[in-house]
Order: sequence, then structure tokens, then C-alpha cells
Amino acid sequence: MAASDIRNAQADGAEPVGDEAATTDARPRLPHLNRTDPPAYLQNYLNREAQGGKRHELDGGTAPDSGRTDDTPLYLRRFRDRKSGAHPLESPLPEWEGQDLGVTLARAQITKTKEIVPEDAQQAGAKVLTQVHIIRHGETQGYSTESGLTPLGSWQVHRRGFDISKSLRDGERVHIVSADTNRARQTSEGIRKGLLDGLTMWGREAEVSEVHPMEEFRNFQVWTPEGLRDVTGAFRLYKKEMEKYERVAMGNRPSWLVEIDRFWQTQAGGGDPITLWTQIPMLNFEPPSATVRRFWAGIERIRTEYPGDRIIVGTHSGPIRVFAISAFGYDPGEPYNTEEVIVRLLEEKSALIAYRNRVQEVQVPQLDLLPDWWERLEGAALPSAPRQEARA
Amino acid sequence: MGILRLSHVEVRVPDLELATAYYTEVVGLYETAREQDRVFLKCWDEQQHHSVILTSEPTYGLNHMGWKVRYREDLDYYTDRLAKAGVDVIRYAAGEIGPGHGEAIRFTLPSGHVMELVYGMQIVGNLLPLVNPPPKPINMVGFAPPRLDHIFITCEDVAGNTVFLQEVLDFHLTEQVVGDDGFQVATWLERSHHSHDIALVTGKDRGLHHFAFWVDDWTAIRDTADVLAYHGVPIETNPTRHGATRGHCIYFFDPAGNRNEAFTGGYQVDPEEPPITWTEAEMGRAIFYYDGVVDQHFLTVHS
Repeated sequence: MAASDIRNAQADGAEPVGDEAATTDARPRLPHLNRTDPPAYLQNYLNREAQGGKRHELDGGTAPDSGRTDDTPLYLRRFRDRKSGAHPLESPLPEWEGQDLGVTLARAQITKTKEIVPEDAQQAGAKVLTQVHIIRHGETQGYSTESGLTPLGSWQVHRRGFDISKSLRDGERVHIVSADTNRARQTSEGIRKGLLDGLTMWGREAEVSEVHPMEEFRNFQVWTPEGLRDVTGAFRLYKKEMEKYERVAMGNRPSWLVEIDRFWQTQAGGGDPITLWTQIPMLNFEPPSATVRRFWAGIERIRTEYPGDRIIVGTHSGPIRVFAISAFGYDPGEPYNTEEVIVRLLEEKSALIAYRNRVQEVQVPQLDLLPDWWERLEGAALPSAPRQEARA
Repeated sequence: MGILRLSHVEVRVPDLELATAYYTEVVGLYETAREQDRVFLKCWDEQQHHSVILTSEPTYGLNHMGWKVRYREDLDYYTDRLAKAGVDVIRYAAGEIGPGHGEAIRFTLPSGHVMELVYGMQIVGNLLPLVNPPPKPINMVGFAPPRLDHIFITCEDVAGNTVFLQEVLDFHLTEQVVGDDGFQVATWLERSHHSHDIALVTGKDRGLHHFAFWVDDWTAIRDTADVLAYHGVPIETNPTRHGATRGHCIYFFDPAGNRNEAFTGGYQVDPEEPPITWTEAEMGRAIFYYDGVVDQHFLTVHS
């Protein structure tokens, strides 16, 4: 940033971080920058400044223990001081199944605080209609069962919610949705708790919805004889069928089994199965472009149903990644636990998409006008659903 | 007579408010004066008006370092010495540099660092009474170091600057890292009869490697780490020990990117004692004794 930018940022007196009422005192604020992620100690400092900024006789103030005209014991006054403000220690700690989390903060550190944030679109003249955070779930027990988040994962998602709360304004409405798996739902729920804790801490009022599942944001699907599943949901059947073929050592495996085996073998070998899914055409897996289309459909529905709300979506890495790939035109990589892609819907059917230090403006695809790949095709070239329609 | 110790540092910060919040809430310094673009701070046990000056500038790093001299005549004495060495000296009246500041001379080291000698900074007292004081104030926040300790700068010509400090300003060399090619990689020098007041390491001219706050013991280093971790301050090096100076230390960064240290330990030294030498092969141990390997991040990141 150039020197002049900084000076400008200081000159226009920019919005205070955190508590906006913190600077009612006569003392002018020091030169400062606008931050999306102010540390808590800055808030402590601003609170102190709001009370005159005096900490001791030295700077012209009165130390808590020097009010000698008063017989109230020091510890009682200290206790009252503490009670009068919302002390961070008084907000509830995140819990997992009713138990305190014995994990370190560092590993649960939110993964994206120091990255480039798109310029406030309002400054740039555009109006943000809706902002959508598409967030990967926290750490899970594994992908072979629907076992939900680990304690660390719960802590991570709580932190993410807490982090998002810093950017909420008074009166903002937040709508929280999730994919229909345990890990995604628990992620959205944890984010919701973190949000509420953060709002309490910053003393802000925002309307936060309960968590609702949204089909459009489900994980990419794989076909199994029992129906469409996400890869985790299909794991048990896959294992069972594979064992059967291994025991009898004969017969050709059906193609869904071959493909899901490739997927899980990649995972077992330490590779990245999501890369496989994005790059290898698989007839029994939902095509990545269909997933992207589905996400845009979900975003369109949100725009209509909750205009102006902040939307938080707890979902899975695969869809998030192909959504970003589709916007950027290259593969920015697998999102970490609780890493997010931010979609800012602007007027005129355009959107800003931010992920991993890159911001891309895209046109929101008009889904009705996208090509129909089966136009004028007949017979076996058609996917099964239109084929059945034709028969009927 | 002569230079007593490191008096103060002036560092640049792009976000003065955030830096002030950090140095008062996390480090626990006390604000003694403020101007439009500068904030003056002191540690709790220091008697003089300030030891850290934060200056709002669009970058980070060291603006100048100030050294306290015992007598006003020391300013004249070193003005002469510096003039003989061909160094230009600017003299400032008391209060000219800033609120509470004493009479001072400023000059530039061969490495380009601006150095100041100051006499008679305003004495504001520490936070304790002079009669029957308690051992420390009770209402402090942050890790609350009692005083500023030393400064570590980077320069291209360590040997040249070391000689300058020794011959013109009467510093005493306590330790050095000597490379296999015979050149000094890093040096430690003192005026206060402790292991070091200033150190130099090979790097960019005018660079600040870190400045250090004194804390009272090894346990206080732990408490410092607790405070830093609590506030989410990036800790670069966990509590450990130096080979050179034998000190205990922890390194971390202020929000602008200036490296800070909390330091304790070290040893007493007399001016005639010969320096300790570390070889290039053992340089890792000279820096972090337990790790024993050269930490590239530590050696290359500076402000």
C-alpha cells in the first residue's frame, strides 16, 4: 500500500473497528488502518481509551488502587470494574458433547485472516446484494463413516463463526444452511454458536437463523445400487461389495464399483481423490460442472429468498473447489478445514468470488440459457432420465 | 562517565493505534505523551520519560536508537571524538526532539543507523513510591517488562561498525561469531557491564533485527509466552537460551512486523575482559543453544 493510501485511510477517519461506540471520549483516535481482523487487545485498548485512556497517575489518570478517598477495598473495586464490562473470559467456551476441549488454539486457528479482502464494493460504487460464505467442514473423524466432527473440528468451526462475527454489523441478518451430512451440519451449527458468542463479545445485535439443510449445497454424488450418495455415505456398501468380489475372485466389477474404488484407492494411497474427481471423467460420479451449476442454483435461490442476508453455507471441499476452479479458470487447490470461498453478489448479475488471495469478478451464469448437451441426441446417447421420458 | 546504557528506540509503525494498543495492552508499557504522529511509552520500572517511541509512518523499522550518557559534558566529549573520526553531529536542546526529551546529539553510524546520545531526559519516576515501596505495581496488564534492555541491528560491515563502536564510542566487545573466512558474522558489545547492550549481525544496512525488553527471570519468559499466545501475537522462537550472552529469550513480532524480544539472564562483565568467540560451525549454538542449528527465518527476517 502506498503512503498516500494510508494517509487517506487515516484522514477520512474511517469506521472504527469492533465497537463503534468506543471513541466517544474527547481524545482523538490515533492514525490507524481499517482492519477486517482486529485483535482483541485492540478492543481492550479502545475500551480503555473510551474511559479516558487513563491507567495510572503517570498519565494523569487514577490507578484503581489509588482512590484513597474511598474506603472500599481495592479487590472489591477491581471486582466491580470487571463486572461492569463484558469480560472475554465470561463468554462460554466451546464444548464438544458437553465437555471442554483439550486442544490448542493454534491448531484451531482460522485458516484465512491475513488474505486479501476484496475492496469494499460500496466504495467502488457497486452494491453488494448478498454475501455468501461457502465454508468447508471442520476436521472429521474420517471419511469412511458419517461420524461428524472431531473435538478439534468443533473448535475450528467455532473459531470460524467467531471470526465472521467480527465483520457483522448491527441489525444484519444471517442465514445459515448446510449440506445434508453430519460433518457439514455440525459445521454450520458450530459456526452459528461461534457467531453468537462473537456477537455477545462485541456487543452487537444481529439476527441469526437456525441451521437449515439445502439440497443445492450437498456434496458431489456417486451412483450406487442404493441410490445417489455422497462418497462417505457410499463407503460401507463399497467396502462390502469389494470384499465380495475379492472373496470369490471372479466376475467383473460393475463400473460404479470400479470408479469409487479408484476414488478411495487414491485416498488410501495418500493422493488427493478430489483432484481425481475434478480431472477424470467418471460415469457414475456427478460431473463437476453439474455440481457448479447446482451451487449457482442454490445461490440464486438464496438471493431470491433471503435478499440482503449474509449467508453461511457449511459444505464439502469437492464442490467448493470446483466452484472456485470454475470461477478462476485454474485449480487454486483443496480448501482446508473451515476455509471459505466468499461470493459477493452485486447488481447487474455479476459477483465477486474470493478465495486464496484472489478475487475474481464473474457473471452469474443464467442457468436457463446454459447449453443442453442432449439436444437432438437419441437413444443410448441420452442420460437415463430423458431416455425414460422418451419411452413414456 | 560516558555512555551508560540503551535509553530508547524509535520505531516506525503504519498503524499507530494498533501498535499503541499492542505496546500498552500486550507488552504493558505506559504511555507518557502523545502527539499527532508519535506516542511515547516507558516500561514500568524506568524512571525516565520514555524508552519506546512509536512513529506513524507507512513502513516499519528503526528510526533511531538513543543511548543515555551520565553527564552533559559527555555530549561535548563525544561530539569531539566523532568530529575527529569525521562524523557529522547535530545537537538538540532539551525538549527539542520531543516531550520529556533531554539534550541530545545525533549522528549516523557507518551502517547508516541514526544513533543518539541523550542527557537529562525528564525523570517521571517509576510506578512505585520512593519510601517503603512494594516490589512491583499490582495493576499491570500484559507481560509488563520492567525496562528496555538491548538492541540488535543488521549491517553489511559488521567488523567496521564494531571497530567504530569500540574506538569512537568506547563500547566493549563481549562476544563474536567469526566465520571460517575470518570475518565477523555477528558481534555483541556492552557499556553497562552486562553481556550486551547492542549487537550487530550481517545483513542489510540500517536494518533492525530486534529490540529487547528485560524481564526478571526465566519464569517471566514463560509468563511472557502465555500473554503473547493469549493475544495471538506471532511467536517466532519459543522460550529458549542463547549460547552467546547465555541469555534466556523469546522472540515475537509487533503488529507492524518489528521483532521484539523478552530477555533475561546473561552475565556481568568487566571492560578489560577478552571477548568470547564462536566459530561458524557452532554458530547455531551461539544463537539458540538448545537447537544448535542456524534458524534461517531468524537470521533473514528483519525490519
